[in-house]
Amino acid sequence: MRAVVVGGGLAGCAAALELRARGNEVVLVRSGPGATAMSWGTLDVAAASPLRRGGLPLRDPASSRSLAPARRLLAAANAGPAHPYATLLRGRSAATEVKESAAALDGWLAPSGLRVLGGLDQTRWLADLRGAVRAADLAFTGAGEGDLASADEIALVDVPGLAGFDARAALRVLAGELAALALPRRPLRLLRLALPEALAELGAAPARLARALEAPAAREALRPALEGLGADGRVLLFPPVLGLEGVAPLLTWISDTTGCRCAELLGAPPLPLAGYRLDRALCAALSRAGVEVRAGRALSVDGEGGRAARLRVADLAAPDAGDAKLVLDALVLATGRFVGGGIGERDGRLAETLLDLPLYDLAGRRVDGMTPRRLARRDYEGEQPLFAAGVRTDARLRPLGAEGDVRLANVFAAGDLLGSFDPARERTGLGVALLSGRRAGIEAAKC
Amino acid sequence: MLRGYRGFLREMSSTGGWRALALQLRVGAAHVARRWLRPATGDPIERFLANYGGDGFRLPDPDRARLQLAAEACLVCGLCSAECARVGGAPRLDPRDAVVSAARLEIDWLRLGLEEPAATPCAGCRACTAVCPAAIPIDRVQEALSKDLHLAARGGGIR
Repeated sequence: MRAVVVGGGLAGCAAALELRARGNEVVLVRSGPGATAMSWGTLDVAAASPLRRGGLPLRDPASSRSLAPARRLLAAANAGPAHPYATLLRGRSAATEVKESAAALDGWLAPSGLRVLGGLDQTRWLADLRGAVRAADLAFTGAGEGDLASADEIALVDVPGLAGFDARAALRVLAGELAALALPRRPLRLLRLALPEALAELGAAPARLARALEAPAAREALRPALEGLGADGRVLLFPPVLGLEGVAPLLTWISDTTGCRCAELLGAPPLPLAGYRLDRALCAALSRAGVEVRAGRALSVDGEGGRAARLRVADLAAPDAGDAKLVLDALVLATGRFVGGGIGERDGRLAETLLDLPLYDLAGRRVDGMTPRRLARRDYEGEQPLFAAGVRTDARLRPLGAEGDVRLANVFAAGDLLGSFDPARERTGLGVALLSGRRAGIEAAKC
Repeated sequence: MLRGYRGFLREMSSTGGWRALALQLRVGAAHVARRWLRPATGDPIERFLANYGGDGFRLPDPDRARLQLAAEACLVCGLCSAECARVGGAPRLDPRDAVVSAARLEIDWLRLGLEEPAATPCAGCRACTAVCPAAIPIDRVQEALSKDLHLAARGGGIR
């Protein structure tokens, strides 16, 4: 069977790899890296947002005991019958589903040196580049080692001259958040990593610094600067620049040299290396598995007898070559939302871009055809219908038409294209991408 | 502000005559009302030329204006900088900075570029464009930038 997956983020990659693992011929059409490449270094199956309104709860409201991520996952699934987790976990054990998915992802990423750390039984307290604390569950190598709760002493490592990182401000924010979260008090410290001159010059371009740090020669240059950074029970938190394509070798070396646990802070754009590494590792996994990846933009789907038969694709690698038509037996849409381009504006109105599927918000209200301005609310932390908009599916993840019917029997949807959840507020972004991507791949393989 | 606008109108009526005042009404009232009733569609550059080209308004360079418009979609994610560092490109200006300055006024392109005269120009490998989530033609932004810098070095102005 020949399957086509549209979307180059985690959901699309997971679907493609599951399809390929079942012996199918798979083409993945990708117009860019998608929002996955802008992720922070965590997987976020069900991370809490204790200091914001509207996120998943950190503590049980009745007993005020802290909730394990597994319980938060169930809370998310129970919040609404249309939530992707509710669809994905119906009649299944959430713990097994997540464990299997995390193991599959770990298997795909491990050859690139990226591992999936943690589980749903325990919250991982991770600090980001600005000092804000995230109650995460699963995280990737780099940030994943930086659990604040299991450290006796927390040290933020300042790299003077590094653009986009203010260690002093981050330390102040971190101290404030640790107090607000009522975590056990522990000493906080600011340490300086004075880079040798040749490396310090690159501080203005963090990606180039990360590239230079990968070279074995950089280690000898770093060795004197690392002296005196280590201490018993201390966790050293570095800005996320310890290697461009892989973080594990340098992290292990620094850990051995200083004798204490080391990690990167969670980093988001404009220091996007955590997401960049994830994207690179996923691309490597696709190429190892033998998935054909095409740089292209999906334009339209030809249907025949209630099934999708062909996908018209604009080739981005050779823009003058004209459109290609891919013949297919199954189609997985993991086109994302506003970054990926699965949902966008058409004539000033909200629309699903490929099949013009109906879109629904958190409350199950139909929102396609409305102007985005009407769906955005003034209250920053409040419910934002615009950011929860997406398609609805049946139990097999096939998108539903306006009458609640499956229009094309061999089309499946995954990732952020699924509606009725707000990944930013709930912090369930990559979790939904991984679980729904795998499921869409498994269901599509049955076609 | 209102006094300033009145002064502007007086200036217009004394120098440009009634035709300029009519244009003011079209821009300030008729156009706004129409936009309010019917949202804008299509290419904004074409729209501008269709609406005001007949009045003698010209864009300095529609291609450049289009490039600037595309650059405004920049999410400042930095993936282009990372990809550029990986493939070993050494452009005069970091691709992200190039796009950000392109989204602003053209004069900024020049200022930013001239601050680092020693760096080599972009090799045009297009790696940055392939990785851009907002589909900005970063290589073309860089190309336009080098053209500006080339002209500036000769003392020929922006164009």
